[in-house]
Amino acid sequence: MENRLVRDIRFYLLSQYYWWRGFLVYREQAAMWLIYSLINITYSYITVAVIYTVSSGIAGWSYYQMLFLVSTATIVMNALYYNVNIGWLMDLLRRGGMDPYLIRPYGRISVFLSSQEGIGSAGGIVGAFVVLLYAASVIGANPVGLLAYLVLLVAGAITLVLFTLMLVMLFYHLLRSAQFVQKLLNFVGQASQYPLAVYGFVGQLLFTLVLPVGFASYYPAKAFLSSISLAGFLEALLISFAISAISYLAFNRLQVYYLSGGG
Amino acid sequence: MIDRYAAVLIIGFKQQLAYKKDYFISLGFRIFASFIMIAVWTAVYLNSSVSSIGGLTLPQMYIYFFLINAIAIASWNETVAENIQDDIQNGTITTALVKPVAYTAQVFFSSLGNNSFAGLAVTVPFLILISFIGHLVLTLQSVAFFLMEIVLSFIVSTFIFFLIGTLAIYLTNIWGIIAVTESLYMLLGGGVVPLNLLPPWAGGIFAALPMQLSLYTPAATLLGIVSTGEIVQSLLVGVAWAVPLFILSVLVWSRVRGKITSVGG
Repeated sequence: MENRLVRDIRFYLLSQYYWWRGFLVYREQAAMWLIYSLINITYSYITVAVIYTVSSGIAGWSYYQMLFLVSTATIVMNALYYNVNIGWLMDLLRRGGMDPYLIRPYGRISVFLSSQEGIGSAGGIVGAFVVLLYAASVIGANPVGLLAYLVLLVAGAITLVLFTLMLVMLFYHLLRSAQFVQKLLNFVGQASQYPLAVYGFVGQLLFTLVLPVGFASYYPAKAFLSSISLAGFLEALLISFAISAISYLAFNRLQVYYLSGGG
Repeated sequence: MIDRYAAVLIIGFKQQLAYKKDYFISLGFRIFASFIMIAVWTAVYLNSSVSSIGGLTLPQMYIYFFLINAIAIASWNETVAENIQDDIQNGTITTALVKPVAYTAQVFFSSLGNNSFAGLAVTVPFLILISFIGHLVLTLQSVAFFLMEIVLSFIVSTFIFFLIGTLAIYLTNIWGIIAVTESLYMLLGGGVVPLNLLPPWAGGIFAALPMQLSLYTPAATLLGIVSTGEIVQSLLVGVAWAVPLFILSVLVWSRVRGKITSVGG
């Protein structure tokens, strides 16, 4: 009996393969979405470049450190949009489109992630990764910081994906609309590109415990820059796991409200 | 004849009334989005210990980001391209073409109805609120210039998005192109950073593009940080774009309308 997790991952990857094939059928559209994704990521880089050209910047953060933070946040948010196309998923839920997916013998998370795609976001991931490498090469990396960065990044990204799936199911149940979740995540994504300190105490609570984006961008970046203690690292990791667990349980509870066959 | 166009406009207006909840959500998040840039620029001003950056004080920077989030809803008309694409994809263009109103007029007035609702439901209340909170000193002249800029920006963007919409006749799906154009509007219009903070060479290029009329110039006009000469120059740039774009739209439509292939429906 093949391990359930391995089967789920294989199903997810196979779905991605076919989504990519479908995406590339319309080459002009594929190119446009990738360009769109690349243009969108330039917003924050331009903002940071202008800020550091006309002023002393943000306290405690050099220009390249800011580039690193913006890139990390951009990668995480685009990875989220790649996996959870909120509008598409809500459309499937509203029209009963999940029926053919939910009868498949795979885990619910894997099924939900494989039922739609946001491949257009791949351009943003690649573009931000290039800038991330450039910024990291200027800043310099130590192995411990890099490892801590990767651990927090992966944990934070998983938290964000589970949290988003839970939100989509919640707003499907309450409003049957994806508008709020999409706008909320756009807002959260923009906020995640700057140090949490600029938002004050309330903002820091909002972007960590309420909307857990800080665990996917700010804390990983701090870990890479070696400006987080071991206790801080463990704290961020534990809270991230706790929010993941709560989101997963809530998602499982909420997905029973899906009405088969639409309506 | 005018009744027909008014009817299309009212239908466009009513279509938006069906989604009141979405507009309130949009309004709320536009306010929140402004707060992010306000928090960031506050940190920048505090760290730099200066009273103004690029001629903008911190309170003016606050108002700028509130203003552009309000203006962006009504100053460009991507709905034209979206409507043409929908008509092509759903096959409804066949019925639209036989109606006793020119198709171009239908898509224009329908989008005007959509945007009028957005303007009245979101932009106007938002602007009134900002004017009071930000203590904006509004004169008859600045309000008149502001309205001229918004109307001209809307007209120019209508032609741009109409031309993009005609691509749907060949490509069927043009969501990506619409999204890219909207992104460019945000970027080149001053939605990311005020254009006066850009290096002179970039500022010069952006000032020659019609996008500056959609966000930066109207916001700067209300803030009083641009001279009358600069405002007139921006309006002339808008007119210089509007005329050739109108001629191009007429020429393109006369050539492509015979190539429409209806699908769906």
